[in-house]
Amino acid sequence: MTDSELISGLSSGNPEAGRLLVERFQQQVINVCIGLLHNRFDAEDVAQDVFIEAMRNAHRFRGESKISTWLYRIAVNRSLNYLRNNKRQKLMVEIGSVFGLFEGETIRDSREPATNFNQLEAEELKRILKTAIDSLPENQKVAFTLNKFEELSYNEIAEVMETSLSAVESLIHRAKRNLQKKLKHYFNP
Amino acid sequence: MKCTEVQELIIDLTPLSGERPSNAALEQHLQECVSCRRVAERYSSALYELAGERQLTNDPFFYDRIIKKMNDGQSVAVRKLWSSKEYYQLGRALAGFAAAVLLGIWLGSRVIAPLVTTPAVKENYSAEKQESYEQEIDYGSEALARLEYYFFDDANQEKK
Ligand SMILES: [Zn+2]
Repeated sequence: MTDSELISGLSSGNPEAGRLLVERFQQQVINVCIGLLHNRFDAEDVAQDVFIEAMRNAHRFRGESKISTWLYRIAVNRSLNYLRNNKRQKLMVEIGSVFGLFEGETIRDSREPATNFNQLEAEELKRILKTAIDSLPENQKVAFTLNKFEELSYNEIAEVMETSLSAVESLIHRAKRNLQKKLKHYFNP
Repeated sequence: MKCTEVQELIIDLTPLSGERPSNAALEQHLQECVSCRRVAERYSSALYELAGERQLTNDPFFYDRIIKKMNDGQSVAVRKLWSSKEYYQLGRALAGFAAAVLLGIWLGSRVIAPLVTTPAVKENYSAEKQESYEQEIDYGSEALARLEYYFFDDANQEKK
């Protein structure tokens, strides 16, 4: 089934088209939600809403972009809304940014006279990177996540974010610079 | 190349898995700079771990959960399109609603209304009864008049 057949199937409420849409794009949608939410349970919940919205609004899909781009856009918007509405997570991010990125035990760990990488658990490194990405401004975080984890081209990211190519280049450039600043002390104690 | 630039390049070039694409200037710097080498190792490890959170296979029940969520939480108009069970479920819900309304009316008229509105019903009842008596009297009078007409007026007419 081609993209346009899939969309016309969805518009007419064909359950097979719905099933096919989910089968074909499930991983991409869930993964972009995981990339932005960093929580499997929340990501799956939001991904379900993404597909529900896609099925409801399939008739509005004009076919100017790929289905995946359209789904990414819904997934990004829904994930960001989820983050905005989730006070607990928002509070955590705010606390993180108010106190500098990795105040607390991470700083103690990383500022110990650790001479090598082995003293930090891989899990801890992951947590540091996750916190660093989460503390980026929203647009930088989205652009960086789509590029690094979803491996989308700058052009595709521009389509998903409904912005220009140069804006995407700038966002990703600033994201990398910010990450470098945030990570250098913790990855190189 | 400055360490800052190298570390930005590390963030740029480190892949989710596998080898980093070769970059002569970067490799040269990493050979000489312990700090950047450490950043590169740690960043690579962190990225690899973070990528491990991603879903790499399809969940076969994901679609069913979406449909269930749709059925549980979305409007009837939306659900109608997406589930073949819709009409049955909608019909069952309407039948249940109708049954509840009928039961409510029946209970209201048989049990609740007499309790709540007893005086009014009694007043109406006696008024109706009185009205029907009056009608019976009227019918009686009319019948008498008709008899008089047949027996007496006809006789009078014959005389004429
Ligand atoms: Zn260096």
